[in-house]
Amino acid sequence: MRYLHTMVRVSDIEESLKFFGMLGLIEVRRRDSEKGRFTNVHLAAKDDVEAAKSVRAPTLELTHNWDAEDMEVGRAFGHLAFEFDDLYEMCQTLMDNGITINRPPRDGHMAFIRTPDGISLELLQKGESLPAQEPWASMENTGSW
Amino acid sequence: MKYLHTMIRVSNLDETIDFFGSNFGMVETRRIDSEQGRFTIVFLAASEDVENAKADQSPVLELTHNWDPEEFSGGRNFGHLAYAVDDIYESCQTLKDNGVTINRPPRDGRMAFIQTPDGISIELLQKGESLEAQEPWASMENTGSW
Repeated sequence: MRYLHTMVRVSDIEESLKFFGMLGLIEVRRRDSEKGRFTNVHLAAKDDVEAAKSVRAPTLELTHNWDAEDMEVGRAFGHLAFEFDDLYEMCQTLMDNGITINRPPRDGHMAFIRTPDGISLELLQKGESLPAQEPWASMENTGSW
Repeated sequence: MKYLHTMIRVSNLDETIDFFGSNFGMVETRRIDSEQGRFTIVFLAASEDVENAKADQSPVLELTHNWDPEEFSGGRNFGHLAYAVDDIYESCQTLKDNGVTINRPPRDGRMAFIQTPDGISIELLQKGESLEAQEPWASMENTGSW
């Protein structure tokens, strides 16, 4: 048995692709179903693209149902986690793009943000934590994640 | 950038570990108990992912159990977790024998859906080519939603 993907529903596919693109996720597969009135897009993190193409894992599947639906946020699913070469650089890019860093990487190790549909994303520094650094070190939390 | 894990909250840790363990053979690779935070975190890996999970902590399923009870609403934004299995009929038979409802039986020899005790949807997909249609699956109706 082998892990394949986690699927999240998205209300606006273009907005979501732009958002995940900012994080460095790349589209590896897409399927439009006229009959089912949905679009599925599989995304892979940069370092997972090769595996995603050869063994179809690990990917993030975005499902966009063409008919509008209510996207309430539940408590059973928690978050998706990705690791980055430089967490500060990633958070800076996100901030420059107007994304709220709900939990800034004060410790040089961990940050949380939310997707446009309210999915929590945990961003983790690869390997050892970075030394504490402003503006992150003294940045307060915003909202929940 | 690399995928690490998906985290789900669980109301009963032992029940959930047993669910993923006895049905799928998923293995615990790491555990953190936090007295201060009043939570337990357990990382599980699928059998073929154990080696990677130990080396890179990926790909794994993180179970978070908050010691104080909380309400679990389903939510529509998160959909499901998907795993590939060697023999989807065998996996579904094991699940059924363990009393798990096969919400979407593998009528096509390719795809099934079940739910965890906390209502998380799990998609099971046959590795490689679909299996030949076979009873009792071929004529089994859907049950509930997933």
